[in-house]
Amino acid sequence: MNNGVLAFSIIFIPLIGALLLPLAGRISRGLRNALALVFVASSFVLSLKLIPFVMSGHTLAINKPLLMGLNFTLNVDSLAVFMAATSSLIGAIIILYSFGYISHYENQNEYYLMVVLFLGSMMGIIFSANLIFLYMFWEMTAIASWRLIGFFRKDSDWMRADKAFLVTMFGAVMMLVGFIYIYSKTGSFDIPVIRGILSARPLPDMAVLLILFGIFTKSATLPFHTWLPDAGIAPSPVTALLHAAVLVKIGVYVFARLFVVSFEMSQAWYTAVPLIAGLSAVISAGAALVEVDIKRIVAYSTISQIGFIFFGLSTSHKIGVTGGLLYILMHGMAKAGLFLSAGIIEQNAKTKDITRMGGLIKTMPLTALSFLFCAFSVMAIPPFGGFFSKYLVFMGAIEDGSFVLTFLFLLGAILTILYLLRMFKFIFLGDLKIEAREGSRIMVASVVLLAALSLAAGIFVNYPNRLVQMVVR
Amino acid sequence: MKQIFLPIVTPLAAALLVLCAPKKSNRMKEALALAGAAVNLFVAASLFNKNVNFSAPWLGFGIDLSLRADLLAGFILIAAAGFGFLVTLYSLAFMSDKASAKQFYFYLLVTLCLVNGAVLAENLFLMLFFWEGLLLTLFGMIAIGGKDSYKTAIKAFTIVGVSDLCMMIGIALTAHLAGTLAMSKISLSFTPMAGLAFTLLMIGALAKAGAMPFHSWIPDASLASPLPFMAFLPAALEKLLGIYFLARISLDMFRLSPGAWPSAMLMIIGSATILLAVMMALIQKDYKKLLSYHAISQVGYMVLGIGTALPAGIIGGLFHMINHAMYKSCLFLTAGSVEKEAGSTDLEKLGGIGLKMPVTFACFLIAAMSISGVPPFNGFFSKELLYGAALERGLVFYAAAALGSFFTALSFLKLGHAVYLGRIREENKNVKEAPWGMLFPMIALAAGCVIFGLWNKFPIHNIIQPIVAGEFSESMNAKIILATVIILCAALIHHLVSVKLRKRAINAVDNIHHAPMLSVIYDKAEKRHFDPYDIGLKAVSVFVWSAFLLDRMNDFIYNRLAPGCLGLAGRFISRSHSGNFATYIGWSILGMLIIVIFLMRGL
Amino acid sequence: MISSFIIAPLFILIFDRIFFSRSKLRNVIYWTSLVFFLAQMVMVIFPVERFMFCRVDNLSRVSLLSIGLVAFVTVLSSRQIMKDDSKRRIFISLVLIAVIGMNAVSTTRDLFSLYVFMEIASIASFVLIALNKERDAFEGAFKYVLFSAIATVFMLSAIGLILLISGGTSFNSIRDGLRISSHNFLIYFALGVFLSGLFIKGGVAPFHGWVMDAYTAAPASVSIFLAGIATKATGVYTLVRFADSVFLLTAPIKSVLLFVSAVSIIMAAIAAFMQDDMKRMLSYSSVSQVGYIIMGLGCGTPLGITGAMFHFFNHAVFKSLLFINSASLESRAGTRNMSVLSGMGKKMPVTALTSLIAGFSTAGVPPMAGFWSKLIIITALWLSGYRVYAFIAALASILTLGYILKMQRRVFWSRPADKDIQVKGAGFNLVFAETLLAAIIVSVGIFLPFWLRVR
Repeated sequence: MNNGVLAFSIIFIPLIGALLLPLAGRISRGLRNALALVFVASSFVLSLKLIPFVMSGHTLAINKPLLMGLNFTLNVDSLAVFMAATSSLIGAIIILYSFGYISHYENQNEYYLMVVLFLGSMMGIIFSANLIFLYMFWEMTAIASWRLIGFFRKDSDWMRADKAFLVTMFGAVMMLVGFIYIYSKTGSFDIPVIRGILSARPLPDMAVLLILFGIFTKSATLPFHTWLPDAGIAPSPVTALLHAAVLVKIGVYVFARLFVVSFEMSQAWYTAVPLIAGLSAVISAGAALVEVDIKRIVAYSTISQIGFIFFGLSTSHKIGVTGGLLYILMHGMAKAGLFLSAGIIEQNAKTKDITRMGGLIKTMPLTALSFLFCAFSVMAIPPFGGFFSKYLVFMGAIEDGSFVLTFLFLLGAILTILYLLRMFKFIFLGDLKIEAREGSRIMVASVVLLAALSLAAGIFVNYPNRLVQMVVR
Repeated sequence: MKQIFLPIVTPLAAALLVLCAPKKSNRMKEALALAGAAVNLFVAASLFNKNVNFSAPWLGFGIDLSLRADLLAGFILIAAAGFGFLVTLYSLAFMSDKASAKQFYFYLLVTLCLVNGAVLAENLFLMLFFWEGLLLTLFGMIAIGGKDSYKTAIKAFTIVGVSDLCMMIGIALTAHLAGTLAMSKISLSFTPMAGLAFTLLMIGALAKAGAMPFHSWIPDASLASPLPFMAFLPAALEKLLGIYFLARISLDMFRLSPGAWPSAMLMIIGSATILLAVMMALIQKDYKKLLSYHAISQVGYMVLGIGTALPAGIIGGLFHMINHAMYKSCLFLTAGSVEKEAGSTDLEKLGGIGLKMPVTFACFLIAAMSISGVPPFNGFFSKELLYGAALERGLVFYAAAALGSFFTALSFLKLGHAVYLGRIREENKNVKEAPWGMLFPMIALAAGCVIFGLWNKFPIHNIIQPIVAGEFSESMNAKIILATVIILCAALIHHLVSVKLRKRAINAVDNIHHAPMLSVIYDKAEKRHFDPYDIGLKAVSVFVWSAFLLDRMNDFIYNRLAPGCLGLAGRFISRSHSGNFATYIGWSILGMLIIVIFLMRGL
Repeated sequence: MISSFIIAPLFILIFDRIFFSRSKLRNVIYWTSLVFFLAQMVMVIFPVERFMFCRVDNLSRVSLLSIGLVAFVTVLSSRQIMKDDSKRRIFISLVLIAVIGMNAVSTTRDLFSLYVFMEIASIASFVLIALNKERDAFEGAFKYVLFSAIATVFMLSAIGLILLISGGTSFNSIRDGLRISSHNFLIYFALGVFLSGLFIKGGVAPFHGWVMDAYTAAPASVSIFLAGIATKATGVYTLVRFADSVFLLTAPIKSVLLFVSAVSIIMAAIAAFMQDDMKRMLSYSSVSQVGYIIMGLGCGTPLGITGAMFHFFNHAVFKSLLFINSASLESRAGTRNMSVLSGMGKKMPVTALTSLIAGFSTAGVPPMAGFWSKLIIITALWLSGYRVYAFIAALASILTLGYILKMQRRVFWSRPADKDIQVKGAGFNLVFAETLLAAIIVSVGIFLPFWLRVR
């Protein structure tokens, strides 16, 4: 198949397919579930098929020139393919898990529609090389996540869903103004065109600041992170999808797309961004050590880890960027595993309060082990994947000369170990306080799969690494 | 297959086989584990005294898969493999009735794999990979100990994990300064940055070796974890690894000289560790816990020796490392025998079993004399080297080391007396000698102590000295020997007098325990007021709560303040829209006037 | 000036009065008017001057298209909302009269005739509001009359002054006259007064006092028409037309427009948060959105005016859709009080979904049509240097989204309250109207950039 068609299908199969799911759901649940998985998995398979193409150093731009700089441009490069493969892989596993998790609840049609729509929009963000189309897909993910967060329809759920939407919308419109600023300087929204016009001059600081608003709200960084822990009331696969794998990575990805790959920032941002990220990493890690709600802890952990990704990406050194990008993959898998395990625990223990749990390793050993594996990956223990990415991030930062920041993040990494162990201890160790069975077979299988992937990503780290190195070259 | 990969691959393969072994048959996994350890020993032996290099590109950025076997590495390798084999042998008898035996063997073999990898790694990152991987087996081995052992496992994991993170930064910093990750190519002098890097690496090494202040999980683990673990990791392999790496960074990578400040730092840490830990060991009333404090205390000697940055000190430190591994393993194994046969390690419940377990007692005796530095056992010679170097650097360091020896001797006199001598207790009447599977490793290790003592020139000259550049005088300082003898005699006299006075061996050191100032400190120490881990956690929790409050304040802005302001404004606006004609018309007229005036203002 | 847009509805009215007064044929006017509105849209989209008898520029086309569309859905949905046939006949007749007025306003080139037709549309609106002969409706209608009277006074006096200065009432002569004596004291006075009159008609803060009461009190069908198009096509369209062809947007006038619109946008959006009555909330929203149109106009560049007119069209679509939603709620669930309604999403899925789409369009969330018009307006503001206003326009869309989400939460998505609300079945017409408008919003939103062509 033509590579352009491939990229096109990666976006539009899930995007259009999502709209068919409610119809399929009227026919049979099995068909709908299978279709949902097929749509997302096809994105994954197709992006795998693109890997040889980008590994050989090629890039591809599909361009339809339109008025006002609104050129519809798709950009197939190694960064996009890496990100697409990562998020569609995790998305597919999460959908697999949903088969078990969501089968007890109402509104399943809506659920699958929104999840697949979300992933499709995500693919749109990844491949889009036009700021306005990027923004459109960006907001579509916001709509989908809004519906997903409020899935259980309690009033408090709605308040939080609305909060998430409003906070991210705030960032998004700021970012939009930033895009308009760029437009006013260059006369185009098309990234390659803007690049040509700017020709290695840095973006105006004001524009960078505005865009960072959007990125930080979406990627839940201090002080805009508040919506993310609150969104923990969503169904667990959704929290995994939103917090771990995909949604929060959108901001990071756009950061990489705009400020690492495409444009230059002025020097001050290389200090400011990691500083904000560092504070975010440390403060949210602190909050994670106090919280007792299992999902809130994992959410705070996400905020904290996102800080590391920003840290890696905002080093001007390519080791750090490699580390940051690998971090996206490793953290995505591990954190999705943590959230999904949390989902199994919460569904079977019927509580989210970790102080009321204990000793669950006896009744749910597989979940416990997977949880532990994923936690190890987040803590950066070899041979799990997280070890490599965290080391590379630190290494990049030190090569960059930001020693003080490195120690700030060292504190964050130490706190990571503390809160993950604390959580593991409360949930799985000690006396058995609560009756809880192991989750359904498909749920446990997907969690085990994620844990195994975290391990495999560490052992075979060179495969993603080679792809990522194509980006930084 | 390249030969150099064998020490890594063999135990790993054995470990996976053990994991796959069928549940029902005990023998199968035991045989597999023993075979794995034996093959590993063989492989390690085949690598000894060879220079083998291997290198293949891996992740880029200077991160290569490069391994190197040299004399030091080969030596550590064979020592580790030896301990691995002996502990496996011992465990066959010790763990035979434990449900977690399978996991234990798995962890043990994986540990061997990782240790071998860490020792052989030439690339710093690769070393970190294996080194930090040890966390997993450490966690697992402690956690399978019993019902509450998970708490200790978490403590150990936290302490070692945090220090490994420091080491991660240290490695990155070193690579940045040196421009390479290949250990043999790194040569840094102590600029402030390099000092920082050294300190970070040192934290990793010290934490692995269990020096203060990273020690506090070891005494806990001695009670919580399966005993062969104690003999295997904290007593032997972790010391080997930690001190090996400390030697590597001090000798090869950084040019540690007596004038450099890290040298003084190391010596201070070493002295403090010797004294504080031995003071704690002195008052313990549990066989294993007492030994575990000694395991900490003895690290102090090694750190002190390497910290002197003198050839004699370094050689002494390294020699002490291998000696300590032998006698401390042996001591722990005797503790295991006693535990298995007498059912307890509490000194209150033991006594007079020396005749019932003569072989164990003999092994204990040899090892205890070694650790106390009684000639002609191995401990004596390594300590003499250390004393000489310490004295050269400063009297205070020597004093600390010598005082440490005094207390060590005291505590072992107390321990031996309380356990093996004295009147036998009623419940210990039926105690038998341990099975041969457990005796053999003890005998082997005790024999090692004797051999390395009597023929101490052999290891020093053939193995250790080639590692250290620089000459050192072989002649021993007669004054120091004299002092040592006096110290030992003093300890013996103190013990005899004290037992005479207090009737019971277990109370032999009560005069120190209840000394005016010390008793208060001891009370607090026993209540863990000084546990660096707890202090650290407390400090963290202060920080954590402030972070949490900051986060809540941030939440408050979003959840309360912004909607509140909006509500206030909204209510105000709604209320002003009262539906009153006059008001509305008033607004309109006013608006019109303002517009007109504004437009005409420029005219 | 005399075009088919005026003559055709007039004919429909007259024929209906003469030939179809008998009760059996009461629905003839319904069908014929529908056909006419459709024809109007088609004629505007594919301009064929032979059938129009007049020249229309793009400004007029947008206005005519919006008028046709809103009138079409109003009449279409009235079939379900207004059950009484004879009353509906009167209603449609009045709508036709108003459409005549508005069509003429959209196409005329003469100030005085513009004024006259504006009054025709207004008078039809008064009657429409009072159609149900209820107390509230009379009060709303009365307020509208009163304010219209004030606006009339303002505008008439301004027209008089302008006539005095320029010596003619056609747009061209006024423009020439104003250009010659651009520093005349009286001109600015006249412009200020005239602007105020138009602000009253368009319902811009602080001249918006009548809007909430009139929209809220009007019968359901009427408020669709009124809020969707009637006040916009008179007041706002005239403002745009004037700004485009007469005023020569000078700096002070731009400042007035921008400032007034900013106040409108923010004030009304905040007030909309606190409303319980859905229609009242929507009328505040209307004030806020008119602010956007005027803000686009206020930056004075062609791009800004494009954005303004685009938003004009979008507003017509999404606001009439929202009012249809509220009418649908009112007629089927029996109330439009948001504190009573709950959990309607399950019972009225089409209404829920379409109101969501319309709401997102209001807030400017892609991929809805409203996003593009807001984007153009904000871009225009930024490009012409009004950065503060660009920020206001951008950030106010969060307020907008806020009240839309609040409305959604309370009405459609919350768990149903204990007291179950009985819902009558939806008719085809309502569903069709809602779906049609929603489809327009979404398809414009997604495909707009692909439709843009260099002319």
